[in-house]
Amino acid sequence: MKKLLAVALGILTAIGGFLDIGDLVTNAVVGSRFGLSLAWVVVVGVVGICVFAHMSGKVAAVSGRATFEIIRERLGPRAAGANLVASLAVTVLTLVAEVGGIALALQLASSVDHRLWVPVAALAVWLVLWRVKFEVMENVTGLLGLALVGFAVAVFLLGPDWGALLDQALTPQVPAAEGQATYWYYAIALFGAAMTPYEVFFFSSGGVEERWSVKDLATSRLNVLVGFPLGGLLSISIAACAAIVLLPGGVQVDALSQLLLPVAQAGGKLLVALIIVGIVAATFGAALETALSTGYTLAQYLGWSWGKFRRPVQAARFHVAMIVALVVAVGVLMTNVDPVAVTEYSVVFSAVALPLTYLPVLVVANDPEYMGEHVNGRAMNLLGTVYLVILVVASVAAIPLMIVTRAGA
Amino acid sequence: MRRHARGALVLAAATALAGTLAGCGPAAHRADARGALESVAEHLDTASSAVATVQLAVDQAVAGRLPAVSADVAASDAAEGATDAVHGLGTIVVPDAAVGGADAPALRDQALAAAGQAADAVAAVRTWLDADGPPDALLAQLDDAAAALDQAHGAVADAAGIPS
Repeated sequence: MKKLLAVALGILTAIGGFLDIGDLVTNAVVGSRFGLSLAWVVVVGVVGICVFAHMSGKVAAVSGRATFEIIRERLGPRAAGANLVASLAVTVLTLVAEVGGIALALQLASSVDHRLWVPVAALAVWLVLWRVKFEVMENVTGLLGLALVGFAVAVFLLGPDWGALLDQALTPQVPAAEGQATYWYYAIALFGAAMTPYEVFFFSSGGVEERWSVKDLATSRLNVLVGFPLGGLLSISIAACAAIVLLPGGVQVDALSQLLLPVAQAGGKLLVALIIVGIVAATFGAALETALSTGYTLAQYLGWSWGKFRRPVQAARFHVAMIVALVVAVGVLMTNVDPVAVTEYSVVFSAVALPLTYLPVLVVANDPEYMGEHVNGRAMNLLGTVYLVILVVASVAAIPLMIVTRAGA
Repeated sequence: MRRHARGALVLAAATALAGTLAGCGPAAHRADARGALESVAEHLDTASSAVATVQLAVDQAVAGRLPAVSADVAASDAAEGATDAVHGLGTIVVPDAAVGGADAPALRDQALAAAGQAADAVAAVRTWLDADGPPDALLAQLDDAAAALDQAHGAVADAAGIPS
């Protein structure tokens, strides 16, 4: 019974913790411009993150070591250093977006300007990182993030033409008002949002934090294979809400506040309040994960003591790295930059950095020296290789498409 | 041989520099009236989206479905978008030329006037939210702004050959 409860909790937190500001913004933007014609990208992204999260979780459980420790050992300091710089830059950019997302969500509940909330949000993130246990932190934000199920409820309450929605999703077409290049630019942005690199660093380091062993592999697999696809359904619900209300209304999403309009239409103030709680929890949880990921990658590369299972005094440089990342995030957001624009750029740059994160995971998962009898099977390697090709194509195409489409304008 | 190589390198660098200046410099914007009108259409889309956003927000607020604080944030974000569109339109340099049979600067002026009307209407929403009076006059003002934007967008799209 206790084991069953643990599995259920893991799945629920995986669902609630799946979405972050990148998913929220990108799905809403895409839904308001393309309807559900890019829903297939979410499916591709969810399968991809399942494949690689499972692999990195397995590496952590079998070897007892996190991704970046092994990347440095396996690829050498120079190649791993280049990987570190790119991954760290994308992760810090994502952290900026997440802290901005918390501030925007708090603005929705208070009407107080988000710039005033930014330092408060960053301070709260730091306090949780400093004081709260890893499991508590992960479970509370994940469970509160489940409030975003409100988007799925909203889709049903809006009573859409299901046939038309399914048609948009199953026979995707580029709308007349949009160009092919813009369509593919947003496809890459959605893919980047679903497969953000920090998720792998966090997942594998979290496995070490929670002291996973081979015995925990089945639970980890269930969390990933059930939790993430259900989280993906929430992503599609956000796009569906935008497609049902905002697209016909001529609203192009460029602010988080616009996400509330379909929800208000569907379920009134109660559902709006629920969604705001969900957005705060999802962005707060993701801010914790990205801040931790900056500490993890840096500490694992440089061989510092790391982890929340240690007291801060025993992993001082790990905690300082996270504080510096948070200070950078506050500094960037205080320049009056638009957090939604930062989010849009962060998901595209995530797509650019994807192969750097995922190739080493695939390499290590095939190395008997680390994995012993648990090396990848043929099916997993086939899937991993197919995804690696997709990742490389997305990575190479991202910047040219950003230039050609003027960042999707 | 080395001197020739150096000369070729200098020539290539000078050509690249001249090409960059010609391609990306202000002259490019002046020369490309169609491109300028495409930018005008994009700013009109932004303004239209802002108006559509507050129309939805007002409808939901009147129906008691959207909390006042969230409606205020939506209106504030929309006001920012509409004002950005006005500023953007004000800075576009449109060449004094005819595009698709229409006078390009006149189209820009029409767009600027429509975006200004939209910005005023969107700003009025915040005032209305504070006062909480009947929304009829406000909704009419928003409808007028939306119609002006549609008309300006249609004219620009026809001239520049953009799908509207």
